[in-house]
Amino acid sequence: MHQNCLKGSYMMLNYSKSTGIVAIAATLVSGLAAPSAHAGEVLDKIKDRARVTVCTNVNNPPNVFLDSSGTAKGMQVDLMEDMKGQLGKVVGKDLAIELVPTLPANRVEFLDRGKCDMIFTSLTVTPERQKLIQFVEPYYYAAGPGLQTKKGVELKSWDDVRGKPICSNQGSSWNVPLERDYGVTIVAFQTQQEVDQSLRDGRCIALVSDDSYLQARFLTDKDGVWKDFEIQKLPAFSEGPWGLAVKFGDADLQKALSDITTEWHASGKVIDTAKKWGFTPPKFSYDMQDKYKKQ
Amino acid sequence: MELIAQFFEELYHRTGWNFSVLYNAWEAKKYVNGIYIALELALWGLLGAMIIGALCCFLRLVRFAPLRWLVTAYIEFFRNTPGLAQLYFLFFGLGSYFQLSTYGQNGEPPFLSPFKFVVIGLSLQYGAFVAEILRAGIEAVPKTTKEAAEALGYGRWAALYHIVMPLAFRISLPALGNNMAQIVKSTAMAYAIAVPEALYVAHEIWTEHFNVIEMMNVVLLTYLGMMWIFTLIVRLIERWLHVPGMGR
Repeated sequence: MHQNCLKGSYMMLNYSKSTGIVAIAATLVSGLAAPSAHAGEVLDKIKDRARVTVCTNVNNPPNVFLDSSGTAKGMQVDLMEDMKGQLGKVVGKDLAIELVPTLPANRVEFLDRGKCDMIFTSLTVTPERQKLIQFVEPYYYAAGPGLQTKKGVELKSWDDVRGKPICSNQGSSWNVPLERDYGVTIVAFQTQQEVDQSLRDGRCIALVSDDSYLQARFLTDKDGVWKDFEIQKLPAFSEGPWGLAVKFGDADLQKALSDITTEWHASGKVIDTAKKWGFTPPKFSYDMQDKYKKQ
Repeated sequence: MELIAQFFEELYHRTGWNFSVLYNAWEAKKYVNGIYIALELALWGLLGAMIIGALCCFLRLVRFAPLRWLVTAYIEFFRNTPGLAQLYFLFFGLGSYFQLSTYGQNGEPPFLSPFKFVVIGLSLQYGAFVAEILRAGIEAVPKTTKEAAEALGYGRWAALYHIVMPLAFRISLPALGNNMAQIVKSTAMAYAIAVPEALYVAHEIWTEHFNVIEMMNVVLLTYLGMMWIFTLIVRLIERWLHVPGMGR
């Protein structure tokens, strides 16, 4: 599967014409000047350095968070560890993993500039994002929008929040649909802490975030930080799948990761890991398990 | 308009350069509103800064020393700390502690909106600069002029009002113009506390489309355009207040 650089470019000559065209097309689509690009550039880099670098939000408990000793933990970290092992088998080397802390607003830039090999975070797949980064299919998880309010606020449908201020994160994919389709006034801050503080201060009637994120926040709330708050049970107006993302033009890495996510769904790894961390897995996960079990 | 929109949509499909704000009606509306809010912030901030600055300048001339110390302390504090930090302090510090922007039980609007926080922040920060600029202007009025006023029988405050201030203001104008430019540019920090001005909207658009480079250009050109207008206004004021022979 994998070749080193020299052998890789030699192999390129022997590729069938159609593969070559696909590779060229991929390079064009990415819009990057990469004269030596071949199918496994990033995967080569991973092997050379025996390290896979991952852009992620390290302040996203319990998906990814740093414990008191600074060690990364969480549902996504468990999956990353598994991925590291499987990827190691692909390149035939033991790999280390390095997390590059990113925010929603800068992770795509980081991936583009090669500061990391992939984005592995709660990254919702959208058509706009698909134009910029290569999502790995099958997607690994999904989430819908969730509203957290003070206790006693009763919201029955998304129409109940029309015209009201809702706090959110700058860069959340729920902002635009809520604003455009439900007439919500989005009050967006740069970090989740600011969003939380603003809800506490009553600067908005609710905060919007991924339902899985809110669920877990309440499940892991040992100190009673959120005891005066609750999650509104509203039907998700859409469920956004989360995908791993790599740069365009590395078919080898994409294939390797695709095999890994397929295996996760088939074996129920994602559902188990989600439950371990207190999530109620989305409908998406069960659909995927059914789909890949049969094959 | 239609043609411009078509051109930029075509440009995106052909080249990948996505100036979505120029062909997506919803985004265009939000962005124009963002520019409007930025201008509004600048105007209110300017007004606030001038009032606070003039007031501080005046209070510094008062003979009661503790008042002068207080004003000096304010000026030094706001001149020597970052504007963004001041804004965070006002919004998340004082604002949270005193619940200044909390909605009421039945959804009554809060005492201070994020917009007002920015106006207050800009006024306080740049008011300190205005006070310093006016002081420098007053000190630049030649001593001989003041003595001439005294010789003509003007009292301390009358001389200040009729002779010194008019000259000092004219001397200060270029520096005040600069300060004004700073205020216009500083409105951009409002995006940190969710005021939907131009940069905030641009940020929202580029997280949706990831057209950071395009939107960054649009944003910079927008501010350049705003600055151009403000510079023209300052130049007009300078010409209007020009005293023949002064400053030569």
